[in-house]
Amino acid sequence: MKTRLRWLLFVLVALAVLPACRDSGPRTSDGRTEIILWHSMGGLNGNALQAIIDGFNASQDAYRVRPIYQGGYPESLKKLVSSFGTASMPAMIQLDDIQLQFMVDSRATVEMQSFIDLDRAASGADQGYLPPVDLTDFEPRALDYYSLDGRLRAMPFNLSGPVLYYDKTAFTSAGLDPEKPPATLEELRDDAEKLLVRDGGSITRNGIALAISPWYFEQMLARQGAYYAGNENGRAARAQDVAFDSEEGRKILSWWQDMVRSGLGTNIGRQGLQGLLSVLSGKSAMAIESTAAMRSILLALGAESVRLGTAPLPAPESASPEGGMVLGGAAMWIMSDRPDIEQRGAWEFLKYATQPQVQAQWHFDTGYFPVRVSSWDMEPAASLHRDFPQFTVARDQVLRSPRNKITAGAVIGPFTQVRETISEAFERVLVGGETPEEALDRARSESNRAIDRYNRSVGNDE
Amino acid sequence: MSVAVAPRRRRSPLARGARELVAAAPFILPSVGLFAVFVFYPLVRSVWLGFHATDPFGRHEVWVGIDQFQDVLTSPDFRYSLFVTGQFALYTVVPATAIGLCLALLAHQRLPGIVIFRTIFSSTVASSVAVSSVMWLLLLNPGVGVLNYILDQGGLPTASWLTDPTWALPAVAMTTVWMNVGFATIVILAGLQNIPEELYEAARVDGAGGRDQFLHVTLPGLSPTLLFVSVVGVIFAFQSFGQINILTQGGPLDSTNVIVYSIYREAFLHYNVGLASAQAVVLFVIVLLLTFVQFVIASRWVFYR
Amino acid sequence: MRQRTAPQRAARIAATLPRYALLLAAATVILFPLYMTVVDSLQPLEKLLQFPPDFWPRAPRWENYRLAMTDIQMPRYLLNSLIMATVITAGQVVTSSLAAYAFAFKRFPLSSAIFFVFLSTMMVPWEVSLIPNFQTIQRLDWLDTYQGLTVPFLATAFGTFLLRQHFLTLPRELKDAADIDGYGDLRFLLFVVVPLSRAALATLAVFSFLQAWNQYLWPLLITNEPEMRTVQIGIAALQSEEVQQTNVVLAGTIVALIPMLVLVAVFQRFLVRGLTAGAVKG
Repeated sequence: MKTRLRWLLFVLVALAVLPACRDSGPRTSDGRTEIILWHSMGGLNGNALQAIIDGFNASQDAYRVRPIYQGGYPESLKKLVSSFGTASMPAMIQLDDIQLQFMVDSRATVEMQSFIDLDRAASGADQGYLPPVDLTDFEPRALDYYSLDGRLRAMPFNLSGPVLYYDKTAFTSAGLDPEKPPATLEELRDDAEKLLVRDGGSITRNGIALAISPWYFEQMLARQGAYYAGNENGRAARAQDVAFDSEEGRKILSWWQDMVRSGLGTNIGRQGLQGLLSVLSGKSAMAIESTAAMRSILLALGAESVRLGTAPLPAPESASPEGGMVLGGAAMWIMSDRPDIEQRGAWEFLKYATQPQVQAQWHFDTGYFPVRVSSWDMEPAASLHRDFPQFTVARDQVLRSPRNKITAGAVIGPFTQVRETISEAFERVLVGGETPEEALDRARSESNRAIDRYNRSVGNDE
Repeated sequence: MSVAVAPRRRRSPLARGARELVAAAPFILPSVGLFAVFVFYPLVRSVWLGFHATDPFGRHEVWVGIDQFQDVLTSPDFRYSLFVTGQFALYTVVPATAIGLCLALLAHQRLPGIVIFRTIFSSTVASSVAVSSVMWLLLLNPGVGVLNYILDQGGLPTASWLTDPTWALPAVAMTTVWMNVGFATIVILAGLQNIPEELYEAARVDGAGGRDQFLHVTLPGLSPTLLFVSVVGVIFAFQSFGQINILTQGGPLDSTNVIVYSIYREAFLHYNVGLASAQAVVLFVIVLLLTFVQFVIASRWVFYR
Repeated sequence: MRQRTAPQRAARIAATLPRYALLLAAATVILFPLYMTVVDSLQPLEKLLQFPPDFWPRAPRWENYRLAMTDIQMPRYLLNSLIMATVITAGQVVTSSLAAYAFAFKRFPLSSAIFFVFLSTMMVPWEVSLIPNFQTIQRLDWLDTYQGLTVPFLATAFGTFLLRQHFLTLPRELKDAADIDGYGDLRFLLFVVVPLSRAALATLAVFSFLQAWNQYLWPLLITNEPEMRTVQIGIAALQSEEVQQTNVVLAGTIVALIPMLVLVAVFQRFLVRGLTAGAVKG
């Protein structure tokens, strides 16, 4: 009887101990090195990414990229952090721009710069399947964003920016010129007054659908030439505090509050895409929305799409010429924990994916801006601009932006938390009835506390 | 009969105790081992982490004394989170217990086919938090949801349930009440069935009407059951996470940021493991105090037969 | 039994009618969310976005259920949940039977103190041990594994308590007889105690299975790969990822719910006993 009992215990112990053995060497599948990519491209964009991956996998026989959709960027990052030091870590991950400082601090990534330098120093077959990357043809604003201390940390991959969408027929019927959208926030308010349609006491069409998005706030701040974070947006030295509680920051919140209070605009909360839908359904005349949504919307509208105009994101009249767009979007990171061969394969994939022709197709399929300057004039990208001039407006807004530490964008360790404080500031102003000063004050102190805690925790020694 | 003839040896009680312990060990060790690793060690470790600042990547753990506990106890956010949790407990426990009581009373009648109704009333116990939340997400949709449609048809005001800071917590609570009502009904029904019929007969002999019987027989007889249902309800409320994560993610304006969600957000979205652990330890102390209070209440007010 | 006259019977039935009306009304309210989900799971997507909503699927689209089983990995999620819940249930039944046996039948020093330690684990809220447990699993490299999903839950103080209470009701003479027959502890447990405790074990099993199947927070934390998602994580994730397929996701939700509805309906007797174990002094 004792032996049977021992056997039983053995099984229990085995159950607890056995499966601890998992491999951490390179992953392979039928003779190729497998490169796991965690990404956040759902729906149509996911198909477009899959097409690039299929192209890469067919172009060589040493590596196979296997994409895993991990939900949105925050979920993906959460999973990455939980996989630190384990075998579940991917070789490559796509993350949104604001994780730049966080990822650098993780010291779990390999700089793109080191691959570029290696390729350049090598010769012949050691350079890999594709020739070394020539950064002069890359969109310089995207490189600015992802470079710290002059070194490129991640490979910009899907770039987008917010634009103003407006209903041209509504403009015409309100006696406005449908080809002359508002360029400033003040003009936008005037236009909204004319676009407002009342039926008795209730508003049947408002001027603009306003979504709460910390990203719009960042962009409007940059458009005015104001810093978001201290130490020149954290690009001269690590940011120790935020700087958004400036005159420029308050202007944005005041305008927002005024638009919603007066009924000229409607607050649609944090559900972003709702804004564009209410323009399409005629409930609102304008909306601010990312260019990332443009492709699928215009495609769905078909011939109707001529109705929908786009304009650069308006800024206050007082905006400085120093200001412009921050071109972040999202980028690909290569993880240092994976074996060299996987890192190499990931780099080969990124070289493939950022070729001008591939990027022209990517732009056509998704509407994301190409990371290569020469892609704009290639087919099928060029045809997209012929069919939908709305894209050209968005492009020009990017290309006209000056390059400096303001438009390079802020670098903050706990950016996710800082953004959260901005979203709450909007809610406090729009729903809670606080003044812009009070709300931004609170956002500043909460952000600074988060930054302070973060900086202390990572050692703050860089 | 070998036992009887075995030579008797002098045994010290200590040695016998040791031998007995060794004999019992294989039976209790699997559980003890698991508890040690997954309950007691984590408790100690949580306290330890509460005294340390951690970096997001799990590399540094730096002693910071009571800094983080001070942060937690003085932060308005944490206090608000406690307040929200209390509110949530109130919004879920009282209605779920009351509705459960009504349903149990209804299902306690002797009628043909009553078993079907009992099954229906207890059915929500099968529904998980994810299933319930996904179901209610659509019902609560301000634009196309059924709830607003019904309110509108009834001439009542509608609401943006999950995005309005005033209504988000009640809406999440409504989902939770629906989920927990099955459990409350089952337990209260069992409690009702445990009240001896003689007590009712005695009451009838004394001339008590239906209302008197309910007040003087049913309610006292149910008091331990009702206490149990509400205590478990409070525990559920303090552990609620799934419905918050799926329906509101703690928003809008932190109006649904209950403590568990706050711990989760701090640890797994903001990567402040130390601070989150400090919150968890404070929560543990609060739960201990609540349990103590519950014992006091139970010993004073509840009528045990 | 005396036969009642027809008018008496009619009066009786008339008296019960309002009661049935109340019962029906209550049942309708309770079932309504479930009913609407079933309706919506049978609709084409555009019907879900229209206002006012339909209360009846005019042209039921069974396709949604087929898609749920083929398009969105539901079978894989269901399998993961089944494996997880089965392992946890089996583990809990084994560990608590063993421990309860020791507490009920074996005399050993400190047994009441150790039993108290067992019970005290119920006082530690799960969320307090969450972070360290996550770190433990992470360090063991058990993320995205079945052992990561199950091992932390293999022991249960509640189950031990439940079984011990039952074992104590078994006559002590059984144990004496077994000792005389030279039955070892394990054989006595397996061939005498277990057969006599089927109901208590079933109660624990149903209870454990239901709890394990419905877990949310833990699987959410430790599964990264979609292949390892449990059905709860699956539907919650799909609900936000597959907005264009909400109807299919709802069909998946119903599919996830059905096994538990059946379990609850079939084993209601045991479930009630488990749920009320703490309420009624035993």
